[in-house]
Amino acid sequence: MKKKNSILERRKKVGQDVKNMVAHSMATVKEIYRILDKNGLTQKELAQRLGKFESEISKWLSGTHNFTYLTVGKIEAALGERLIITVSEAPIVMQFYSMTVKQGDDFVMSIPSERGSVLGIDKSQMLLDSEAEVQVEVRESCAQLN
Amino acid sequence: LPFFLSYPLFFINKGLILKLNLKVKRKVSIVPFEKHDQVVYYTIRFAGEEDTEFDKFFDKYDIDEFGEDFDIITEWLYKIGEEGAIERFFRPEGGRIGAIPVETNRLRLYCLRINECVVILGNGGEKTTRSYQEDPELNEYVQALRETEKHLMARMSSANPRASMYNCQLFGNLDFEIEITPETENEEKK
Repeated sequence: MKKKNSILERRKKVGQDVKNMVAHSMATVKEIYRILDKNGLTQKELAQRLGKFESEISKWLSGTHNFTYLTVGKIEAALGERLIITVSEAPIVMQFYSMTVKQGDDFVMSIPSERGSVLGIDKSQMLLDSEAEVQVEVRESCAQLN
Repeated sequence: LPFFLSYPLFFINKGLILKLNLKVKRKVSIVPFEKHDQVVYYTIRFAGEEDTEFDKFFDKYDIDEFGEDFDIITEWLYKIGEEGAIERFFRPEGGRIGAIPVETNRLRLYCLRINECVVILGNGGEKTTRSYQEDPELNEYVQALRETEKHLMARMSSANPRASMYNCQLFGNLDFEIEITPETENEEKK
């Protein structure tokens, strides 16, 4: 167990560039697998669509492949879906949630989100005579999620 | 002499390197290393040594020359720990032996992937040959893991198992005597 603390310390020194590269590569691979699963496709079929050997596709899908945009473009074309969407391209997601509250109530509404967003509303902003259904509009974009 | 007998002798006279395959027995233990959300990492330690095989890898390559390559392995171990030891994350090296990372690196760390939640880390090194078999040092590291795999699996699957796995942890007798061909004794000039 001698090195356990050492690797914990070492992990703190890992450059953000490497963390980003590993995260992007793994996320891209997850997205490929999600689309393959959704469409009932196999890795072999993806290889056939790309005109590549399955062994090469295996390397791409290992999680540390340094994808070029050209490769990503080819995979996207083969799958018929985008794998990578930039922040400015990402659609803003609008969702509506409703709940019943009374005047003077403090409430915190949990908004289901991958990042676990929580929305709180101050009671001073509420001008209600009695119980009322409140509709809350939540706008989330990729930029906010990150 | 007939040609089929004289042909090998010709090469021996020319100083051909012959592999002797001298095997030595060594005692090795599986020891816990690190627990993550999805994976419990173990490593191996030879009897009489203070450092584990992963310690040795760590000491050898956590240097400026391999800064980024070592960073990738460190981050990759963390990511696998969070995501699970999925087979495709390891470069297959036969049986349950895999190397990380599969690509984008000069370094290779050899692992024994028992399943998606138990991984035994071995030693590793710089990849300078096409396959690990061509590098005596890497070959020795893989041998140690392969022998450990053989003995551990036999012990877990026997009628009266002396080692077991429960809830992603290994239990029981995790000390083995393995046979490996040491790097220094692997080749001898004739």
